[in-house]
Amino acid sequence: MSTEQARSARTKGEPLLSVENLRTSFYTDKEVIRAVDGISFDIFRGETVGIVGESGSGKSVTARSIMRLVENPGRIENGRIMYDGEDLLDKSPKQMRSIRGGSIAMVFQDPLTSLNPVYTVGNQIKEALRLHRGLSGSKATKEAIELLEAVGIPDAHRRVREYPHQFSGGMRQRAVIAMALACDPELLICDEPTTALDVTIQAQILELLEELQEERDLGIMFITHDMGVIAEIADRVNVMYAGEIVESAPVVELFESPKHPYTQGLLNSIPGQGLDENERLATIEGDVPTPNEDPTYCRFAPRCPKAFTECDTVHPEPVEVGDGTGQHRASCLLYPEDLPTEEAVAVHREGGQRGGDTR
Amino acid sequence: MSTTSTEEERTTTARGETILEVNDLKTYYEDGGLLGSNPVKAVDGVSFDIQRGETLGLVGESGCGKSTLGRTLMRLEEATAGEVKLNGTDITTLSGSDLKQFRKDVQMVFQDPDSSLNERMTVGEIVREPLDVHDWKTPSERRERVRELLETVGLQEQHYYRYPHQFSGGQRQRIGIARALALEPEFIILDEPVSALDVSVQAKILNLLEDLQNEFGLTYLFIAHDLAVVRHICDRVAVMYLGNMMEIGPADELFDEPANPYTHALLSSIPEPDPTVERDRITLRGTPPSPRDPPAGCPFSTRCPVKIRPAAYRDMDPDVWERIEIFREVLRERSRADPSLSDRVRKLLGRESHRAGMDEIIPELFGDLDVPSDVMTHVREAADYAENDDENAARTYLREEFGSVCDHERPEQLAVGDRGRLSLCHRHDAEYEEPATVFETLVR
Repeated sequence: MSTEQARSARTKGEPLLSVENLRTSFYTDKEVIRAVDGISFDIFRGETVGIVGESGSGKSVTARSIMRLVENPGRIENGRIMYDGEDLLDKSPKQMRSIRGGSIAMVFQDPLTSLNPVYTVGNQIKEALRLHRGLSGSKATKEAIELLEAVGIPDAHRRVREYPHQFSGGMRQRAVIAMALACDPELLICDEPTTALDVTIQAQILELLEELQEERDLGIMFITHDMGVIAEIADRVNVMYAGEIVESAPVVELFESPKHPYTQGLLNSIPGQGLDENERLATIEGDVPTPNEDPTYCRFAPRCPKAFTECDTVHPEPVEVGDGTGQHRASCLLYPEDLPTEEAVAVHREGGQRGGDTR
Repeated sequence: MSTTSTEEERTTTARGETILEVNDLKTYYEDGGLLGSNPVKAVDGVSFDIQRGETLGLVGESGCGKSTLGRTLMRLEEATAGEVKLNGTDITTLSGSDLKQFRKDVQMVFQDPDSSLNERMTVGEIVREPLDVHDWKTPSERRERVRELLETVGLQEQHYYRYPHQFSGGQRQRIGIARALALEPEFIILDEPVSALDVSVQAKILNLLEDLQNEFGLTYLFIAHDLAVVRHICDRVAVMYLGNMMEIGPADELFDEPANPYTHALLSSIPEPDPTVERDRITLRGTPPSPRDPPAGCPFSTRCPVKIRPAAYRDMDPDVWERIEIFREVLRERSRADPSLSDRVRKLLGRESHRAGMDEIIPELFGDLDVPSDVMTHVREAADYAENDDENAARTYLREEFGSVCDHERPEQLAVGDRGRLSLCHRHDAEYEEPATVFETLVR
């Protein structure tokens, strides 16, 4: 869907998925790590929402939390995940099993680990068809062949009877996508689906996802660390840092006028941004911290070139920074821009006083 | 082509002295079969040279042979044929003390800082090991040297007694770089040194590598698949595909005006970090062929979007032409896969083997198109061969009918421009249209 369309879809109708104040923590002997710490975002039908961030920023844990695939010692501690008017966190394991792969499907980074090496690709697609749609026998085979054709695998009649090792990397990812589509999901969660692939194959997969989205009006949540891929596929982008969403904006706006110092740093450190050959790359000092305590301060402050004293004592809340449509928000004490710093800080301080945990 | 004066200067200084010269190098992996083995042709005849002080980028998709080439230059793999001359000496035949001396001059930094550092050794021991092996000066001088090296790469002296697991990915890569610098090599092979790192860390390592090059006058071979990184750091770039060097030339020129169709397609498939860019993407079909069984003609002929067509079919509808190419690819894929045990049993029992199924494929591929009848006759003929389980005959038939110089003849590296750029493509021959011209018509 073009960004214009997506933008207008946003203004009307209910979101397909709505994550509110989600917190997922991991309990280790040493500390409690808040891998995802109070994030909120929406995904609308036919829209691609990108989540970017460096490793350890909590992107994958977000995806796993939505699918309720967080394993011990991880725990979803707070928040709501509203899908179709119901909170996914209230579902029983059995209900969850039918949602997973049914109306919400997921594509993982490494296609080899999501395919079972001892079954043919066809069998694995048919398993999903049997579990979620009650198809079996030749009907299921026919459907599986059609799905493989839909994701652009030539010679599907024969391919359906082959094993994963007989497929190339790009083909495997196509097969995984076919499997995800088997039950006509409304929401597709892609966790770095092209990271393990070469650029020419990545281009094929991105094109495929766009086509499928157009055909089926899919909502896609796309996780990646590659800003190029995000620019290409997303309609809307959430930037994550140390478990929090620090900036959220429509894709064009984010790349044109990034507001949060972290987003700015991230974009500047990509080589080839009209940089002269002899110019040095901009860097962000220090490393991503481990989010292991209550967010009573800005987690980016130690690395931030624009940090000031209050950054260590006041937790920044998401505030409107765009053109007034409420589409562009950043969590940084520098904003709202039109207020003097002290007043801006006060806005964040008050914002932090709102209600506590709901769970 | 006009060049600015600074670029000219850089080119002339870079062209000072050849440090490494590679001639028709081949590295094959034999599978050790007793009878007629069919080796993997990882590097299949490449030639290039590297000037002192320059950075040559080596790019390509996984499996194209770029890492094998790097390892062969290091003598970590034995070359099957060809020569590699470092400062004029062929290193593929070195042994004994000569080999040991060579190992001092050439060092390597690996992609994965997790697996290339020994977890049981302290950082100091890791960086000191090459000094110990080569019996460099006295032990106390070695320790002094290690401390110096740690500082050079941006680590601290007190890191000497720590273990690799106590460091982040970027810091570990610094340790790997310190180890590579220990013996003051003149030539360093960087095998995907920043691929495993996040962008903000990646930028720091790239800056460090540039500083070190300026400080010590190092020569780099920079192997990577991230083309933005390569463009930033390299003076010249070589593009590999299926063991062959498709194009080599100055980085700016190669990126701005790629000559080879493969380079063109590769560059157009990189997502640009700018959502407003409307690009005419060339999406390649399929995957690279197996390096055990490379195409007889041009290595890129199976996927090339601007392949030369035989004269008789030059004006054919592009959709029909594409379907024929897909059909050929299907057959190629089939002949590559071994029949499974159940297939063989089925065949023995006289039951229909699913390897056939041509009656399903032909309508699927050509059903919705208006295919000229003579073309369809040829397609059916080939399908008949395939139906009788003779994919190779079908492939040969199609190659004879629809093949061109690209399928039959291996192209030469032809000169493009006047700055020493070479490109492996028949289209640079005056007889045919240049790839760039054909791409333009494709995009429209």
